[in-house]
Amino acid sequence: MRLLGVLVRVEALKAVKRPAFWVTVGVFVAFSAIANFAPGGGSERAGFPDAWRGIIEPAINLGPVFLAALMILLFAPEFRWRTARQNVIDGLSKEQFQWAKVLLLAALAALFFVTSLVIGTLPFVLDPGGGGGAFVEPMDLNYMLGFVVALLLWGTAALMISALVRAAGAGLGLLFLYFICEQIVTALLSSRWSALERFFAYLPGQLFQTITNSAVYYPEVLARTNAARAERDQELLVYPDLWIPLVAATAYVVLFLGLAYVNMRRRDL
Amino acid sequence: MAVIETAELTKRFPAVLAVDRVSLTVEQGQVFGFLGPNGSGKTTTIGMLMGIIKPTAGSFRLFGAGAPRDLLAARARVGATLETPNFYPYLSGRDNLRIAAAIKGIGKARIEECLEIVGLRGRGKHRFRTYSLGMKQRLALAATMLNDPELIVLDEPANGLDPKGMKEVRDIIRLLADRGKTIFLSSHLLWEVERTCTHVSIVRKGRVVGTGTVAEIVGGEVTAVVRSEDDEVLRAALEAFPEATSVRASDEGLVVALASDDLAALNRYLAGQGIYVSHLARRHRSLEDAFMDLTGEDGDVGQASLTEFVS
Repeated sequence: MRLLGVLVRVEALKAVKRPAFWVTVGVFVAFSAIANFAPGGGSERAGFPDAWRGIIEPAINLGPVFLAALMILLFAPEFRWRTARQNVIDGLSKEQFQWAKVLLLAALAALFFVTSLVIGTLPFVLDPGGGGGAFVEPMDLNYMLGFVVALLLWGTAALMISALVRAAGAGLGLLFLYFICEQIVTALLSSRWSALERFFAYLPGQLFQTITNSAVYYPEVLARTNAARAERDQELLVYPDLWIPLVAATAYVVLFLGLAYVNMRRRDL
Repeated sequence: MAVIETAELTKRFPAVLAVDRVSLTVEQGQVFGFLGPNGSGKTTTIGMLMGIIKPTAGSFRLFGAGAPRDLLAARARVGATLETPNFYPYLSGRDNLRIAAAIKGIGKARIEECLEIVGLRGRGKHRFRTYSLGMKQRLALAATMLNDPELIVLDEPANGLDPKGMKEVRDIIRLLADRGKTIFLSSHLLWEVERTCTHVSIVRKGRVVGTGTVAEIVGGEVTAVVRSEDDEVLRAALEAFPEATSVRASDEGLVVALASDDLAALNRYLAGQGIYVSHLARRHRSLEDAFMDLTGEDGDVGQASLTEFVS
């Protein structure tokens, strides 16, 4: 318990005194505020529970990317500054140092999640709308769960890349390059071999797109989208059971954490 | 009581054998100098002791502890810094110490005490990146002292310092030694080590080539400085002299280590070879001489830096 307190205190001090932390969170807050407050943007002003989809939609796309960038900015330089090695010399084991970063990731994910909801609900606090019935519906809770998994998917990918690459610039480049390349490669190969699509659906980037898509959670959104596609003679969208992509994404979270852990144990600092 | 014990400690990187079967013992209260040219494996050896580098083979004990869990507890009795001072550049000196103190389980009062000892209390609130190299080294010393450790490990603590900074660091090391701390000091500044340490080990290409008290390492060998018009001819002659155990170049001339102290015999021998010396003088053998003989690599240890600090 004392160790947990030490790790939290140390990581909090490192993070809140880092200008990059405030800049990244500040930019995220600014984007979220624009998305929620701008005319025509943000939530449906009908009040709860209908508003949740509009609140989460901008956050679920922005939040994970900002979280990943911040995670790399806070973690990777510890190797260049050799403070990772100094933390171990000062008394942490390499495994404890790694756990400190997992705690940091959990705290940042919670921060982005709560901040998104606070900013999203603010318009309703300032201007209460109509609405009625339950405050939140099960599909809204599922969408929030999807948001959390999306945050952890990008966050653990960033943590793993930081531990492997040990440089912030290269880490950021590699993370975003991977997701861009995955999109391009899967699109090219799927157009030639459609059978591969089922396999590609379980790649991290494709899973991220699936679990952040509101049509997966809200049948009326899927119906609206498919109606529009039908008018254009396009193939109708069919999504697997919600739990399959969520479990697959969670499996990636565990895999990324495991790889980071093994890497930390094996490599010298 | 042995504070550090290593047995056949070895580290092999893909391209190089950095530490080759190093066995040494550091007893409580010793100020132990760990000497070697750059790249001889000093930092790698310390890194293994501190748990940041995995040994390829061999073993070590800290305060008698050898198992991983016990070593973690034993390291709580150690204060160490490796190579350059490793701190968060955007944090103040005081905040950097707060991080080290939190990990070591030390309170705020001790942070101020350590800043005071190293003369940084007035600059504690300034960011680490604004510190001079001397201040950074002093902050590293403050960090090592936080938990009032029984063993202090310092890796090149005077690296890059001007003479004033070196004196400040030396004074702090002496202060710690006077307080009965065991100090393991890695350095290639031999004059500093000779003045500070009670015991030394000399490593070359990852292997220990000499170990003992400073007096034992310096030894009773006679050395002489010899100069003549033609150094190359002189060197060849000295190397062929039966009583010569080693010959190396220095700023003063050729330094020859002799098995006996009969300089007249050397003079006669050289004259017999047709070499008339312009200078022949007995010389006090220093740790630098012993180091050069044991490492056997003229110029491989940064000759300029050595002579700069020896003179």
